[in-house]
Amino acid sequence: MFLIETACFSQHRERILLQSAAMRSKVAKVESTSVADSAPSGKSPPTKNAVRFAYGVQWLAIACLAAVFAFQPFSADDFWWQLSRGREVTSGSITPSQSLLSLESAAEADWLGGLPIFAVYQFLGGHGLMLCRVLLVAGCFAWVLAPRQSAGFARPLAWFVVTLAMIALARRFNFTPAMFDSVAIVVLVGLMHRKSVEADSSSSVRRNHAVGMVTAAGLFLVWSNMSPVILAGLIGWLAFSIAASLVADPGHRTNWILAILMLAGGSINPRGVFAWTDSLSSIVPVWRNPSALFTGTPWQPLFEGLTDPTAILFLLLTAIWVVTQAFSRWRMPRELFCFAWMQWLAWSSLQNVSLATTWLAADMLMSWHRNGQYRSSNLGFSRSQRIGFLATTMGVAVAMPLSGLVSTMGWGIDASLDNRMLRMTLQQTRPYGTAFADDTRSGGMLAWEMPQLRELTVASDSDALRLQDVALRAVIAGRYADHRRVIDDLRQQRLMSYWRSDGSQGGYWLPLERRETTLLVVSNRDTELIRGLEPSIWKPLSLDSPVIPYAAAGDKHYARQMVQTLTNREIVEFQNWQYTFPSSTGSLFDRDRWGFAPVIVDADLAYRQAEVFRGMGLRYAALRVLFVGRQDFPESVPLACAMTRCQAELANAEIVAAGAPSWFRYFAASEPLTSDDCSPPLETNLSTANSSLYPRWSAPGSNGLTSELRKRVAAYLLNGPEELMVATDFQSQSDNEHSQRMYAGLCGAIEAGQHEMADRYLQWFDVNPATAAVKRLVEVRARELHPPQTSSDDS
Amino acid sequence: MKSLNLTAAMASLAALVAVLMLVVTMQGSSPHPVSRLEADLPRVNTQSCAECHSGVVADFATAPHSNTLRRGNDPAMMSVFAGQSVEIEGRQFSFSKEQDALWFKSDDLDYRRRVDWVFGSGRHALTPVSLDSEGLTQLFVSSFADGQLRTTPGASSVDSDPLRLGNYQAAADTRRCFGCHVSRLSGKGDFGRQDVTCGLMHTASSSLVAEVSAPEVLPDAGCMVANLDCSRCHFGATEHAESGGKLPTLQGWSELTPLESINRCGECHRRADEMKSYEISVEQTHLVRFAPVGLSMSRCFQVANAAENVGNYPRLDCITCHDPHLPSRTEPEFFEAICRDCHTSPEQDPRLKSQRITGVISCTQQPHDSACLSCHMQKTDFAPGLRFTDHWIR
Repeated sequence: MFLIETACFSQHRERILLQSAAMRSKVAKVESTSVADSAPSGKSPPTKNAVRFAYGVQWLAIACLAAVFAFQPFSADDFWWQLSRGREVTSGSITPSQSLLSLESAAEADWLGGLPIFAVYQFLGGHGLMLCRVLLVAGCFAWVLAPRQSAGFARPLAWFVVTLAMIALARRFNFTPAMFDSVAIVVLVGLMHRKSVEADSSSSVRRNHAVGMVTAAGLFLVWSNMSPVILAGLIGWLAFSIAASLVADPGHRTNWILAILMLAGGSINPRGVFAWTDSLSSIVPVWRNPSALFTGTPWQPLFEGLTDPTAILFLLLTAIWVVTQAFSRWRMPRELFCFAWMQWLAWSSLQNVSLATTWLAADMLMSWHRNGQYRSSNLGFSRSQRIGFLATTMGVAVAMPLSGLVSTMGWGIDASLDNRMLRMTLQQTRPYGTAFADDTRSGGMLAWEMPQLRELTVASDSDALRLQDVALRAVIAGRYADHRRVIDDLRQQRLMSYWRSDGSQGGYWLPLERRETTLLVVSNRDTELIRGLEPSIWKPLSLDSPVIPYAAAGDKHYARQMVQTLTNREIVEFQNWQYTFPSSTGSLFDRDRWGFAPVIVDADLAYRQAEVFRGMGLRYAALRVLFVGRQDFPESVPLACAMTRCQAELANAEIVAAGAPSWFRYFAASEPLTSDDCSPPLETNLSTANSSLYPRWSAPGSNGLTSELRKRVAAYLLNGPEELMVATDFQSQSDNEHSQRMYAGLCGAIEAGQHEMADRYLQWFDVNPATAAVKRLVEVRARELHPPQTSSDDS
Repeated sequence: MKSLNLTAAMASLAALVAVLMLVVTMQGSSPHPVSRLEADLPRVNTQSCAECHSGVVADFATAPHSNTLRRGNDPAMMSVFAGQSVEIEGRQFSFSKEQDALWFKSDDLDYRRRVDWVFGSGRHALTPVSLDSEGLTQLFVSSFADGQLRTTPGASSVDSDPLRLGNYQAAADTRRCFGCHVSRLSGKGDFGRQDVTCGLMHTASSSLVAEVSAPEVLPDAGCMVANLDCSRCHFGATEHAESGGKLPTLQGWSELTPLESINRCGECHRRADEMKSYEISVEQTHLVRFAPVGLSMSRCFQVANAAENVGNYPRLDCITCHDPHLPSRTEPEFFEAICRDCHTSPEQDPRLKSQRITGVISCTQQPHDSACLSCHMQKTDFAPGLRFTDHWIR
């Protein structure tokens, strides 16, 4: 059956080869036709101006899109990690990860992966790095799509595919291994199509095997030393070779020789043949690590991250690839197995989606180029082309805003990679022992600061601080389970040992003790971890760094900064502190390199800061950030949800303290700020609390006074706590409704940091006793304003 | 217009579908490891264990470990608390039974709290708690072994500001508290589900399985199994029972080193390696509460279990003296006899000549047949009504 099928393929192939040759000659004729020549039949003859206009429009589109793709600040999580590795290599290490990590015991194949970015950064600085990126991205994009007088315009579908691929890959052009992977995949696809062209051409055509062999071996030699995902390429090639053998391509045996050369080339690195096993765990993380641990990480399977824009673009390109094949000449495309392999890679791990996207786009573009379908004549557009360009324009117009690339345009390094706060914080400490980093960004940022930290340590006669691990390396080396479990235990505040369902022992105390951990570096994105650390002995050394360092309470090496941070907590929570968006200073970390915008306004920045404060239990500080953020971004759903969650937490704190929430806080937590379901409704907690309390608390009824308070709360949520402080309230009589209103004013004064006004409210409550529940709440607020002195304060 | 190549289209789609199925199969095979207490593992019923280990099961029913967590409306708890009142630091607290529930109130607050659970076996104290959606309130008043109501251990003062009925603990702490008093803690995913089977191999005793009641992060929700059962300490008991005893339990106690053994007890009773060195000193009087910590610091334990002394001394760990399936023994003679397994001169006891006990330490102060515990493992008053034996043998 299989042989019959193969024979059918061969016969079919010969038939369509003839058709293909005829088609190519037709396309070549069209391409060689100059503008001055007469137009082909069916099209109206274009004027010179019309052609110039078409050129102009295409170049304008290229310029605009290239600007969006190129002017993206460096934002990859492994940015500092790769820079640190590159620096280690220049200082003479061929095992940079081993030099940087205390848990790393093996050499790495991709030891040169960080060298290019470090070299550019070292010689040209951050701005030079960005300039190189701009030139590279814009150049590549323009080269692929530029209209050419001799070859014509890129077809609408080519435009669409290139643009989609660039949207997906724009942030990968960082001179890091991720970019090298894309480049290597493009070269590999080029090699595949070169082999296909050779197979399709007549046997009399002389084939230059030497070029292919050098390319194959050289590609994998370079690739294996730069990036760990070489196995993706080798298996892709094997898949292609199997398909070529099945259709009995002439010269298919050479493919196997090339595969052997690739295997050999990929083994020439400090890790030797183990580069292939490392590569397997890099592209298939579940090989050495339990799959369940990858949920919510960059290694999670695609079906768990389908809302990711990169995933959506990948799916779109997959659909285009399948449809393209549905109209191809081949009954079984040579790239079918390779397509299946790339799909498997992408669906297995979100990390591989960019790789597969690169393959899909490169394969389609090269196929079209091979078949003369990539470009069309520049003698004017047919009707179908016009419709195609219109559809492409609309598609791109929809995809660009959804991708978020327009809003993240800028220069330099993204604010999330700003290492200045971490550096300033750690300058005040004498780090020693080892540091645990929760993700690659945190680990990389700390690794970059290591030389400066070593100097501090030398001065204190302690052992130099070492980083334990980074997630990127932990996945490859099979240590990710240990890494992730420590994070999970820290999040869940599981200090003491316990046993897990897989037989392993949990509890974060022992692993951290065994590793002599003195420092944790935690991403400000992981608010669950920040929340988990709050009641532990680990105390933050910074409140606003993108990566927050934590040290153990009582550790004298970090004590000074810890005390400073405690003071800062007091200031942001209870003093008259106001959040402001950071001003543009023209630094490398300001997107607005030239300072055109006086203030860098970013909803995400405010949201992150508010969530960090909320995680640390600084709810008033979080509210202050949210009020500022929501004034600039009133439609922001994350900010609205953060506000609701914060108000709900404050209401729950009131339930704990007094058995019931105040009317003000109940209204604030219940007011819908967005149509999204942000958090469990307060009523759920109230009904549960009510079941264990008697008498049960009931929501305030609707009357004139409560309506008035509701209006004030609505204004408060919109404009800030000043809306709650109303001078005329002080003249009103004392009753339950009015005391609830006065309590709202007291809360407003505290949230606004107006202590004198808050004291005035407290004095009012002194002479106008409230109901028992409100009285208890007022006592809590009074303690916040005037905390009782401890014995240590007295001393 | 090109014609549709159905074969190629079908081949591409088939490849895609095959890949998706493969990925789904791969991903579905690895559940997220969680605490054994929260895992949806099949559990063995105590009655099943009794088929072969009837004596142990019968004994265990009388042990404190099988009565370490009870509902507030449990008749035994009602009889201890209902109608009792006490004045502490000027505040009057009382317990009352209303509508088949136990309630706790003080005379200076206008609300009262329902007692949902009572922690402890009563050997030292019984501590009532009240639950809400976010955590628990450890009520200020506990009942002690002498029948008196006093301030709950750990609550420094009942004169809180503002006035409350107890100390509040958030969800993580709540789960940790329950974690030591249950054999199964409902996983977060189970809450609100009506079809949970609690992973029981057989129908469980209804008194052990809590009803589904609260939808949030509370241990009260889902199918919590209160108190310690066989599976709690004997990992793999289900498989052992299913195989009719052919399969051994996993990580059996006899396979553990003495240190591993006391550390397993230390999961709830605390372990020394989870404390900073400065936290472990004779000045830290609160350590008497944590027997495994004291024992691991004892010279007896360290010498007997030192690597160079393997086989030279009888095994010494928690279960050398304490059978966890039985009520704790109180007669000192029983424990002193164990001391004398080592602390007896070989010349005086010809039986020991055949054993390889070396390094015997003679007591310089008292004859060998005198009481050991009164000097070396003294009972210490930890708090009014609370006495613990100091396991730091010195």
